[in-house]
Amino acid sequence: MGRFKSQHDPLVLLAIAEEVFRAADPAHPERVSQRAYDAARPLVGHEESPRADKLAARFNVSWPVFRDRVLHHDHPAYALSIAGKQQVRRVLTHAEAVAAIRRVATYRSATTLSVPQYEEGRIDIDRRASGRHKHGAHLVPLPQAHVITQRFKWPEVTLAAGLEPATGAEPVFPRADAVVAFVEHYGFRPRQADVDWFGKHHRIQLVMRVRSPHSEAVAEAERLFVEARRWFPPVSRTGDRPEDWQTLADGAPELAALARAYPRKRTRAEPWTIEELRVVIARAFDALGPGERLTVERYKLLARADGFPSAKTIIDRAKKSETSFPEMVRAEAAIRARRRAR
Amino acid sequence: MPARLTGAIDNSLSRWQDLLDVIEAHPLLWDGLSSADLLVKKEGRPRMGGEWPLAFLLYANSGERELRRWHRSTADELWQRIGFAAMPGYDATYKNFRELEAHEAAFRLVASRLIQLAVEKSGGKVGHAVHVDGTEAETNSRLIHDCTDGDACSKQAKVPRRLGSADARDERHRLAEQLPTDDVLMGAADGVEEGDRGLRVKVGGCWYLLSDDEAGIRAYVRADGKVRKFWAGYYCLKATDHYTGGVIGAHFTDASTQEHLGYPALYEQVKENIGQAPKAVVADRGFSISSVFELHTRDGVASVMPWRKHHYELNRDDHERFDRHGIPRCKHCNGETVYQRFQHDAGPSSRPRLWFLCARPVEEGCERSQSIMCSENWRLLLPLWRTSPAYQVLREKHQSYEASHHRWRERYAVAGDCKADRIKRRGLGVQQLRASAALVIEWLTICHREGWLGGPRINTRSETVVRRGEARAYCDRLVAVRQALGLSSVDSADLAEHQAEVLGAYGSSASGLGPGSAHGPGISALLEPGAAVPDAPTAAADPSPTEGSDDPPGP
Repeated sequence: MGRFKSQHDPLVLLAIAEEVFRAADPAHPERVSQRAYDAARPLVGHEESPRADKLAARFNVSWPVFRDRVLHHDHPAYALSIAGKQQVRRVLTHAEAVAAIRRVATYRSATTLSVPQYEEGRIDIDRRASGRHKHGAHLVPLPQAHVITQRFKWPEVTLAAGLEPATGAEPVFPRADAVVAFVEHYGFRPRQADVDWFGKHHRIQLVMRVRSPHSEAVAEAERLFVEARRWFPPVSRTGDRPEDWQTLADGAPELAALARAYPRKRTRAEPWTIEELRVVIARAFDALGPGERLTVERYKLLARADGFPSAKTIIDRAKKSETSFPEMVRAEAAIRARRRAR
Repeated sequence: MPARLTGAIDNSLSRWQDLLDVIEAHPLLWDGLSSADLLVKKEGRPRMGGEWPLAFLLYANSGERELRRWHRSTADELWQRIGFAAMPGYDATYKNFRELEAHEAAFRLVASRLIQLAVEKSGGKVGHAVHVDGTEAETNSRLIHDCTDGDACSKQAKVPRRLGSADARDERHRLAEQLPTDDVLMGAADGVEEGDRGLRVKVGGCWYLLSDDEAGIRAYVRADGKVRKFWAGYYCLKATDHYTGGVIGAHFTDASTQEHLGYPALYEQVKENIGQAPKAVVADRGFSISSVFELHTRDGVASVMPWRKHHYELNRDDHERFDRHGIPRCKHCNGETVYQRFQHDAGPSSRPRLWFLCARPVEEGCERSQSIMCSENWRLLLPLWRTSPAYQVLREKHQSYEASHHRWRERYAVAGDCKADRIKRRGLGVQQLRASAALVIEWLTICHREGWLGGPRINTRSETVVRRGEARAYCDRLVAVRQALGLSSVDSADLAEHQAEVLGAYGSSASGLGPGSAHGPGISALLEPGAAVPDAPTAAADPSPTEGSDDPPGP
């Protein structure tokens, strides 16, 4: 007649699982989380059936794979047995994470390592290693940063690896230095709103206000001036300022250099234009080494190193302008070819 | 990747007429194997005309163990086809076959011509990789009580019970687990003497005579001293070709000689038969001795053998410059390395040397090629690394080549392991002659079936190659073990911490991660201190690597 019906029979388990999936979210059963699955079991009278995590462990697959095979395959048991054999599950130990971070830090000759820096170094090491030899089938790639951060706290692992704690990923300009620069270019003591305007106008990313109060920044700047035996301006009133003071320092090369070193993040109200991005692509071409091609992967590395907008930004903006990243690269290459031909 | 040609050794020349047809079609191959060349008679009546070597080949091909029975079963037609006027008498047949024992090398010479033809026609695939294994061969002899008056034998002699070959095989495998020794194996025998009448052995206070004085002996006495068992005979060492499955060399030693001591003679025979050294030799733990590894590496031959304890290395430890699997560490960053090249006669002193590259160069020195002398550890530093797919495939396929022992027993009555199967004539010479004749027939069959002698190809099956995915799967098991042990990705100072963490993660089946882990179900046994490590599994039965496999060992 039929199979012996048991709670441990895989076919019965999978039939129950499908029923629970469809009860948990009839419209989108493929989106049901483990928690939603567990909660939905009593709805169809299977509260004693195994929990979601036990099911995934039982079939030796991840939860998304389990869900996909149960809902979308004609023979879920067979599909799961195949998937279970392909699934490679292993723990990442603390010692492995520490060794990987040490290796990347040695490669970069760095005493501190942020997550993006690690990721960049890891990709570079593995790329060079894979291209260097043909007998490396047994080599295991270095763990990805997100795998490390999923199990361990980044500062703790970097500390265990003997590195100094990493600072923020993006460079930011200290507010005290911003006050110094302001005084030197505009000649009066700025208020907090003036420093904010300074950063925004010259596109310099300043430290957030909450982290560096204006009073402390001004006091620090004054101390630097006094140590250098220079006069530091007193508090000024609005009427004491020159009328066109906001245009005084436009085009100053020092401020342009600061803008390059501490590029200001764009807000939603300041999107990149396609022309600006074409300029960025041109700068990326300049940063390429001899014989290198500008691919998305290579651009990602350059973007981190040279402070360019992310590849996703270019791809999204290019799509809105009915072009694409490769087309923009080809256009720039064509321009350069014509220039060389002349 | 080593390929396999199935169907090459099917027995299509089992009828003596078919065998003679092929032999007569290729007279040049038999140069030097005629009665006129081998059996020269200086005095007495001239020898009867006819080819005695061919008669012996037909005898071996018949699979008959007893000469008298075979002689009776033959027809005049058989003898006339090989040059005899009529069927010779049994005595003449016996005497001439016995004389051929001194000319066993002539059979091997013919076999080597056939094998070298196969090497040439197969484009070097024949003889590329060779599987070596030993099996028991019984002698047709028993013990006779031989105490004299002066031996003070007070009790009634009880002849020790004969030990079956299966038990002897178990004993041999048990010995392979233990530390190797070059001593003569004689089990619990108290003494052995060679005399005019044969071999005398003392067991349980009594002397016994063994009529085959060339055979090796083993005596087993239980702790209570009451039950005594005895085994006498030979070891047959065989080298089997990976491509065709045909035996490429066979060498007999007495059973008292350790397998690895008899191996160099077999290896020389293999080289003579192929015409060059093979690229890889696969063997079991009995041969996993430093001297065997050295012999291979100095010849540029890869050794594929499981780990065995040694006096100098009881445990499989990591070394400063290389790990327990023989993977050298980078001199600059101490990281994992990959194979670059090997030279067996490098430098002015012609010593085997391995070159390797840092797998993930992070320092300036890592970019350069590095090298290490294989003599630092012959057993670990191999020309073919244990992490390579070819190594793992050869290791996995080794088990199936043990079938050649059974095949040769059935077809050619070589190395019989029971009373019904053993050759009825005593001595080492007849065993070796029979093996060499079998070698000729085996390769004649292979060459005939594959059309390498010039005729059509009879074998209907085609070559099979191990798929890349399958080979990677074999490698993945070793890679997983290396990860579990921390050899691939952890600094040496943190190994203990890493192993404890892996054990904690996978050790409990309640976590749901135990059997499903990428490290396999044997991971707990591998990492728990003092845990018994299971024996080598087969690929199908248990994918977890163990001490005996490759070769993941206890920590």
